[in-house]
Formats: sequence, C-alpha cells, structure tokens
Amino acid sequence: MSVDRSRLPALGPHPLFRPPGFRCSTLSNGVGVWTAAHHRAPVLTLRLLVGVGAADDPIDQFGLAALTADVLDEGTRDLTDVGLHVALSRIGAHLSVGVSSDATILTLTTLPKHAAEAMALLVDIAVNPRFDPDDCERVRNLRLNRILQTRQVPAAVADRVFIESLYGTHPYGHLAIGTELSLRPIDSSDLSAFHSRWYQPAGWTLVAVGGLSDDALLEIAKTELEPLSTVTPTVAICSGSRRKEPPPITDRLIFVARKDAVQSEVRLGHPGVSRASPDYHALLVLNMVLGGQFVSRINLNLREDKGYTYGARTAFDYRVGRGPFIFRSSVQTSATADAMREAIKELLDIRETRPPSERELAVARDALTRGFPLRLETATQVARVGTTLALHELPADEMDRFVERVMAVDADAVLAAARAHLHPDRLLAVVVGSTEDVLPSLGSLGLGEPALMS
Amino acid sequence: MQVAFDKQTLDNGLDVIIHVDHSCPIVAVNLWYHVGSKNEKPGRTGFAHLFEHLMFEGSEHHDDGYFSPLQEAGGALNGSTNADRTNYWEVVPTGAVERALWMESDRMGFLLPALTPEKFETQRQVVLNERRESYENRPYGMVPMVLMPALFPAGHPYHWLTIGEPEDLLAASFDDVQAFFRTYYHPGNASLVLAGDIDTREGFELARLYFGEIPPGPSRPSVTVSNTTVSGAPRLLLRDRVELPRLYLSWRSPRLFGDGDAALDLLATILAGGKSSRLYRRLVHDSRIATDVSVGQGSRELVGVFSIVATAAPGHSLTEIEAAITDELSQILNDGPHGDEVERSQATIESDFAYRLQSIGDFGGRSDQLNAYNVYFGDPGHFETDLGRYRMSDADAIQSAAQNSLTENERVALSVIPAEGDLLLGLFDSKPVDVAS
Repeated sequence: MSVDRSRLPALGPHPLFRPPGFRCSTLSNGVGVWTAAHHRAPVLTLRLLVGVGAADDPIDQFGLAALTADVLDEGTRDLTDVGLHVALSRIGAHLSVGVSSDATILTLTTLPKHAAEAMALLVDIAVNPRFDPDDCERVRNLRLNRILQTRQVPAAVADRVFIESLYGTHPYGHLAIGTELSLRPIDSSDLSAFHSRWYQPAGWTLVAVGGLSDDALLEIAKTELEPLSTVTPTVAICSGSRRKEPPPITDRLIFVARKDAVQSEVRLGHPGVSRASPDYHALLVLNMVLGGQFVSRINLNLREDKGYTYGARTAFDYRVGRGPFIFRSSVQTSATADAMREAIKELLDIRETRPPSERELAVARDALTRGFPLRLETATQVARVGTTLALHELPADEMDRFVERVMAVDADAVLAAARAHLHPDRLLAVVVGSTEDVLPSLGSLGLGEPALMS
Repeated sequence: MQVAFDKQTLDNGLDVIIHVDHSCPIVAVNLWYHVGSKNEKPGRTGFAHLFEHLMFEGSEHHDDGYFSPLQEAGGALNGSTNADRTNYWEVVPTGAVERALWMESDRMGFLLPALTPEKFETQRQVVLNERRESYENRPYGMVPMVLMPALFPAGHPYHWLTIGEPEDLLAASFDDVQAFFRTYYHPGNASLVLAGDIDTREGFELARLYFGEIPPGPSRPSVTVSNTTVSGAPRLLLRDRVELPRLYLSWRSPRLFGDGDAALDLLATILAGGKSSRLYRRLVHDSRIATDVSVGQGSRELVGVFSIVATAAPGHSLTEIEAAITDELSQILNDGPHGDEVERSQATIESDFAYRLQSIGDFGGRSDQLNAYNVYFGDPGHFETDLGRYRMSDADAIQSAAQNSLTENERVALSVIPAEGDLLLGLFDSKPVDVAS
C-alpha cells in the first residue's frame, strides 16, 4: 500500500470528548470547593482563587494587591520563611502566586501522595502570613528593582504605557506591580490591613484536580478549610467598579523613544468586552480569523507575506469588566509604519470590505472545537479552567456546552460581533522605537500627532 | 516512573516509537532530526534554525503553509532548533493523526520541489527579526554572543549560537538549503514518536505507510571538535542597555547524561532552586546585595555549561557578589552539601519530572522525552535510569562533581554593566568586549 499524496487525509468526525467534570461543594463557612479526579499522571494541582486583584488597589497604593500576595510565602505564624520553603521543597511542591486585575490565585502543584501536607501548607500561607516588617520591605524592594529593570524591556514599556493610557483612572488603568511612586511608601501594616479585609475565606474557591478521587480531594480540602472563621468578604461590593466604562482616551498615538532600537514594539487596541458578553463565542471565532493563531490574517500578512516581524497577534482579554482588545507585535524599525498600516487595514477589512469567508469561519470553528481536548489534557489545565469559571461565576459544567456554542457561531454572528467590538476608528496606538527612524513616518497613519511619553 | 513504549526501526533507518495512553482523545507526533547548529559550517552559522523555518513553508504535495491543515484539524504544532537537534511536533485530536503523518512525511520526503527563493528570502527576514526581538533589542540579550565564544574558542562547534550571525544568515544561499536538506533531513537521521490515543500496531503501520517509502540518506558527517580549553580565568565586560549590573560565572561541565551531569543538576537546585536555596538566601534574602540569582547545568550532547547568574541590587557591585558566590561555592567544594539539601533537591527534580510528563506532546512532554532518550542514548526507555542518576547522586557525588568542573582557572566571568555606567561596577580587571548586533 502506498500513500495517496494527491490530497490530504480527511479528518475524522469531531472527537468524542467529555471534558472532566467538576464536583462543587460549599463548606459550612462559605468556602467553595471544586474537585475533579484526574488520573492521567501522578500530579495534583491545587488552585486557591481569592477574589481580589490589582483592580482593588487603592488609588494611592497601586501594587498593594500584588505585593500582599508576594509576601504571603515569606513565613507564617508557625513557620519562618526559610522553614516554609524547606517544607515545600521536601514534598517537591511548586508554589506560584499570580495577581491579575481581577483576582489573586495561589497555585500549588505536587504529587498526589503529598496532598494533605500540600493543602495544609497552602492554607497556612493564605491564612496566616507573618507580614514581618523587614520581609515586607525586602520584597517591596525586589519589586522596585523589577520595575527599574523593565524600563529597558521594550515590550514591558509598551504594555505599561498602553494600559495606563487606555484605561486612565479606571481600575484597570495600572499594572499589577504598580509604580515606583506608589510602591515605595507601602509597609507591612498596609499589607496586614489589605489581607484582613480581602482574604476572607467566605469569598474563596479552591479548585483541586489530580490523581485522587473526588471524595478524597474534598475530604482533604475540608480538613483544612472548614475550620476557618470568616466574615462576609467585601468583594461583591467592590467588583462593581471593574464594570465601569473606561474613560475616553485623550491621545490616539503615543510614542516612547528608544535610542537606536532595531525593532519597534507596537500595540494597537481599545477596551474590549467582559467575559460575560453574550458575544464571547462569536469573538473567539472572529479572533481566530483575525489574529489569534499562526494562520490568522494578521500573522500571515505581517510575518509570512511581508517578513516584517517574527510574529503578530491579536487578543481579547476577557475580564470581569471590559478587558482590552490588543494587537501586539515587535516589528523591524524600517517597517514600523507599514506594519501598523497593514494591521489597521486588517481590522477595518474584517468588519467592512472583507468579512470572514465561510471557509475561514469553518477553519476557525474547527480549530477551536476539534482542538478542545488538547486544552483539557492535564490536571494543571483542568484546574486552570476551573478557576476561570469560578472567577466569572459561570456554571461548573460550562465546558460541556463549549463545542455546541462555537459550532453555532455563523457568519452573521461573527460580522455583528466584529462591528460591535472592533473599533479601528477608536484605536489607541503605542510605539516604542527609534525617534529618528520611526517618528517622522507615523504622522501618515491618520492617528493624529504623536504624543511623546517615557 | 514508567512510560511504556514499543520501538521498531524501519528499513530506511527511521526509528519509530509508540507510547499508548487512551485517557484523552489526542495523539502527539514528535519528530527529531539529529542535526543542530553544531553541524553548521563556519560562515554559515544560523543555518540549521533558518532551515527549520523553511520546513513550515510547504512541500511538494501541499505547496502551501504547513500550519493551515493542522490548525483546522484542531492541532497544535511547533518546532525548535538547538545546538544538537531539531525537533518538530504536532498534537492532534485522534481523528487527525493521519493528516499529521502525511504532512510530516511530505516535508521529510518532498520538501525541495516546493521551496522557492522567495520563500527563502522571506524566512531569512523573519529570522533576522527573531534575532532582533529575542537578542538585540532585549536587555542582557547579547550575553550568549560573548559567553559561548569565550567558553568554546574557535574550532569548537558550540563556539557560535544557534540563532547565528546576521552576515552568515545574509550569506546563506539557496544552494546551501538543498545540500543541507539532502545531508540531514532523511529517515536515517530521524526519530519519530507517536504517543497517546493510538494502538501500537496501528502506530507502526501508519509510520511505515507514510514514511516507509522515503529513501535513506548519507550517514551524518562527523563533527570536528577542537581541543581548546578555557584557562587563565578570563574576565570579560560587556556594556549593554540595562539598569542593573549582572554577573555571569560559567564553566564547561559534563555532557548530557555524562558523569557528574545529574549531580550538577542537583547542585544547581541546592544553590538557587527556590527560596530555601543557598545562594538565594545568602545574596537575595540575607545580605540583599543581589536582586535575583539563578544557577543551571545546561547539558548538551558534547559538553555542558554550568552557570551562575546574579543581578546586583542598586548600590551594590559585582565584586561583592562574586565574593559571596565564591564563598558559598568553597563551602560546597570543601564540605559538600548537607544530606537534607540533597534529599530536597532530589524530591524537587523528581516532581519536576512528573509535572513535565503530564503532557504527551509539546516541548519536554512524554513524546519529546522519549525522542531525547532515543536520539542521545539509543534507548527510549531511559526514564528510570535517568531518575536513578539523581537518586544515586549523594552529597559526596555532588561535591566531587563540583570539584571536577568548577575550577577557578577554567571559569569565565562576564560582567554586564549599564552603557553609561562606571567600569568599577564590573569585576576588577575585566576586558571590555564588543558584540556587533
């Protein structure tokens, strides 16, 4: 038998795949526990979702939520910082703490045989942080050093200027790490106060996924979480501020000088949609066509056709409030204006003259739905999905309907979503690049006079 | 830890390895070619990686982008090149495994008819942009361009970087492409893993069907390795667009799976793995002269590189940092690590193994690891042996591996300081070097 190379092998039917199901419980003190047994590999992932994020930073203390989270693992009531990390390394555990605009998530990955100890350590870290003044100062200084260092990272500069300029005074208008000015005065008493106000177990959801039964996972969670006393958290009251409309932008084009830069970092975008948008699935399909994957229009144009860049992507950041829609690319200096012109043209075309074809839509839907099992292969991936669902207060069985919903997205729905949520006439553009080589060419983009920032 | 597999070698020399796991309806296709930048010729550096880009530009029977048929199948895919090997992988839903094999085999057997000078030119530009993005326009990005030549003087195939020199990339010709493909891209120089929702017999049958007709090529030309060594403890200084000075201390070290390789992995964990590690505590936690520290045993096929990297906190010099690192190292060299540290570093490495092997696909997942063992060791079933190396490396083994490799005379010290900064920020008596970007 030999291969028929005259055509590609047809694809089989859509994969029969039931996403791993979560079992959800609420403990007597209000803590939510989501479990999913997952036996593919000897791994257990625990993710503790605390509904406080950088959006909850007081306006004169940007960076407080992230610094608070960062100091959690610097020792607890009973364990010194070194003692805590010795205990974690003894069970080969990985602890990571992530703070986004919307939430704080503590992730602990370990082997299932260490489940009970890992759970106890995770809860100790979240509940009993020491907040020793000296440790707080040390960690704050490390974060100040990081801010200092990122001044020379063009991509980080572009992201910061973009977010600050796009959202202004909105709770999404600063990076989680904060600024040098806002971080410097923060001390341990601020962290303690922030922690006691926001880290109330009644607002938590623990997502536990891995090589143990649902019953065993729940039992371990109960042992550590149920005894915790709690007051009703303030989260529900304040998350409303995330849903405010971002203020209008003042400048359309912002230029940050980087002497002799061989590439320009480019950001284009505007406020996008919340995860709660009814157009969520249509936008997933739209973005696959526009700039969400290698074979999207924007990457094929800027990279594969023109060779301007190593890669160009667009993304909607689906948050509790309206997260940003962003085009991101690092393009060679001499092609900066041309690359931006092409990207803007793609945004216009897809909602006006060249809406997604039936073929493009079919490819995009298939990529999302046929590829669905790939995104739920490991315990770590499943746990991540669980935390996202819990954060957005979506049903635990939401993923059961993912394929059906994406398949139902038709050309009309995508075009309507593009017209409602892509605004090429209201773009904010940020360029970090060489003044001499780039700035003069930007005037022709129709975005107005460039505002110079640092 | 066991990753069960079966292996056969086809008549044309292609190794085929099947690993079965039906728990998720996906299959990983992972293909290694045993060629990397160490196989390049001087004056044509960066070629193996540039060539990897061309593998995504279409082949005779699918003269179009490589991504499209696989992304519409719901697949994920990528490729990478390092000094020793080039790998390509797809992870696809079960129903698309034949499509992935068709595509991989078409570019192994029939790449050249579809390659045009235009595609070549565009990808040359993409790679030059990759170099700008990942090295030239990034703080500390040019460091490898200084360190590797210092550790491996001219004549050694690790002298140059996989990304290559811009003038070499510009000099590469379309003829070079053809010769490179014929020499290295054939079944006898490749290893294929199918892992996941597939049965062993079916896997071998499909591999034979799609790859069996591709003729074997010449045997791989040997790589010449000069006998140069590092001596006289060179101290170099690079000015870069950075805010904080950073110190790089590097040594040549045991090769991948070589004697002392695992022990130095453990030492790296003891020195800088997590907040209970020795150097983190000394430099970042206690004295606060550094803002970060990392240590790694980067093992490669011919020889490894052990490196310690620390960034100075504002107001502190690299001289202070070097003194503290030297002091911590001498404690290891004189007394070895404590038993408890060794046990914890073993636990860390063992769990890292489990975390990485959760995935069947991707870089570092089960299929990639099976290929690594097969290509470098000739035996895909090396998991237990590999982990065993760590379990057997006790405090004495770590101490003697450190004594063997981390000698003062053979150390390369590189200070990176801000472009306008005072020379005193770097180590005393360092020789300024310049790298053209």
